[in-house]
Amino acid sequence: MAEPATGAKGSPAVGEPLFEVENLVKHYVVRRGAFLGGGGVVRAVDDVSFTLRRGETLGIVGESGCGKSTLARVLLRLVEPTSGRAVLAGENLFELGAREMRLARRRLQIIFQDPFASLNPRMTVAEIVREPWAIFPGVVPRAERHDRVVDLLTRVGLNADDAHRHPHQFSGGQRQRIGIARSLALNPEIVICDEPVSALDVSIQAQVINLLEEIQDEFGLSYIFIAHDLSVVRHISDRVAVMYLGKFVELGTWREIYERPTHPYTQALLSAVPAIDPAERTRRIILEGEVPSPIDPPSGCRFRTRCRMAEARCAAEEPALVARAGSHPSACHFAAPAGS
Amino acid sequence: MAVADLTRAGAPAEPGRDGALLAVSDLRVSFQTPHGVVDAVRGVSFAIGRGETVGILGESGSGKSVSVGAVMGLLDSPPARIGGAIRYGGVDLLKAPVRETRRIHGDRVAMINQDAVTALNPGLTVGYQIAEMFRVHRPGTSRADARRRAAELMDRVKIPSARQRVQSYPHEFSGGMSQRVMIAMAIALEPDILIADEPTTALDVTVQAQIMQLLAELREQTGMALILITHDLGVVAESVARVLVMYAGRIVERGPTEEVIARPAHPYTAGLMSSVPRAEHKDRKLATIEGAPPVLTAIPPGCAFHPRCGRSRPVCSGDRPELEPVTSARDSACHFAAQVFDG
Repeated sequence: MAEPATGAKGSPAVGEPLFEVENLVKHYVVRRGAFLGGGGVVRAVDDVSFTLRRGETLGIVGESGCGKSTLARVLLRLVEPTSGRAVLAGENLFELGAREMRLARRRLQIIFQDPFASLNPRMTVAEIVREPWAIFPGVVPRAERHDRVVDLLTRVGLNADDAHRHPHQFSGGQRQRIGIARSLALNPEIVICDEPVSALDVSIQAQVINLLEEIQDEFGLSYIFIAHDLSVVRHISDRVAVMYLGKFVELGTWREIYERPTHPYTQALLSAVPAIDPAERTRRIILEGEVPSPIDPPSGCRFRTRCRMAEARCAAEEPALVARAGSHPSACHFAAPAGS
Repeated sequence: MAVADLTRAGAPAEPGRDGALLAVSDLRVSFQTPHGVVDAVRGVSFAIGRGETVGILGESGSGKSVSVGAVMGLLDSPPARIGGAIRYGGVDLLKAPVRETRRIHGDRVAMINQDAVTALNPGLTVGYQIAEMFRVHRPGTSRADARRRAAELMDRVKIPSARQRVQSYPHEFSGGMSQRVMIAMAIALEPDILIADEPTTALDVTVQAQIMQLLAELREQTGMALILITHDLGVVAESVARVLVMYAGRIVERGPTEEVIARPAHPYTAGLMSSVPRAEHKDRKLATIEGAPPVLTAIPPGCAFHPRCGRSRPVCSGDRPELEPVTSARDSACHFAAQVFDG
């Protein structure tokens, strides 16, 4: 099933469909452990579909355990999907052999959360940035590589001299810049950003967000931007998907999600964010309890166990992610703007 | 009991602040490391009165956690070198013998921190760990009484089916529930002050909302004062009446939270505010503070913020600005505080 059309209103830069993800599923089978009790199936990502358009930023928000990082890893096949399709330039990535997949990764790069763990401490910055060219020697001719490394480093706000230093000589924000330079080395079309600024201090976070926005325009990148920080996602995204227990529960333009959310989970999530401006404070919806285990999630709507609107129907019938309430897709039988 | 006496006597006169429960004056903490001397806290003074709420806002390395670590007696000295005074009820916690500070730490002044999950002992039931507070600090308490009160406390911090879960082990609890257990332990002895060091940083936003609401309710019921350490401007804005902003081991600005947020009087505070992505700035670049906080072994001379400050003038690298009044309720440590305040 294709994703229901939403249209990225107010984003003229956004172009044709580039990457189509259909019915993506990732289940982990957990065996019965000595301490953990029963085994079962972790439904980490459960039937997720979306289309990423050229030049667009699709934000994916959700709390820990919602499956957003698993989604990132499955899209790159760092872990194998259980089922589904992910079509980039006419090829279903999930059907590619190891060699072909390696080639496809040239188009699809990732920036990780932890700039301390994702850079090899034994390599110099130049070696880190250059490493992808060992696999794709054709991207930059050997003679131009030194200059290209310097170009990339200066582009992300580092110095040419930094090329010979090692990752431990840099702060968190600078390391994230090194990771960004590396991700650009192959001129990718899509960059998956998995919590790229959540390990950084507020003042550094803003610098990295600005950098990501600048290089998006310059390099014509499309982003899948995964984060738990709702303000950061609002700032950078054209469209936003809200994830809960392995599923997209709501999908729309940033305005639709932030200003007219119709799913009770989105509404609660947004209301929980502490506001700096007293004027921005809305009535807080305090959710009961915590996210249930993705092993054996609730029947019907997975959010119903914490939902103030839940009725018998919600346990029996799983709400589909379809356009509701005269607006964008929302997976709630009772989807409606807050307060209505 | 000595503890009760101390509580009653707990309002010593502190210069400039009547009725302060806890007064920190000119606190300095440094550590000798192979890379040189790390100056973590460089002359911090603040006081908190009964029932007050104070936030300490700062980024990594600002000295906010080290400051409260010193208050709680958590820093080993050596290697830490600690100077200044921390007075609670007439006792200087930095000089008093352990048998005296023990009546205060964990008892009159309690603390919860970010990592509740690792703060709990995995080998003991949560009920036992809460009950331990009474066994250690109230030696007369019977075992049955301590157990009963542990269950009551778990109920009070809204752990569902508290009576059954007294027997649970920490691994059976989520991060949010573990933080509730830590809160139960912290409020067990009805402290005068609760220090919460990034209490919700490791938690999801919906769980954060639950925990902050719980803390607010408990404060209302008990009248305890709250010192909240956080890097999150939103959490500060919603939870505390006064705020201290720290940078490179010093307080750079302080005042009533709403006023500081509405009209910062220090360029660092102003920069922090504008770095936060807001709805109305969606299509603009975020304002940033250039560069990064200083390495604490090499703090810039004068104002530590001057290399990152757009208003920096020669005086800023020469003279260190002291925390001085901007209005009757506000202080700022900036040579150009008045201009910043006036926008």
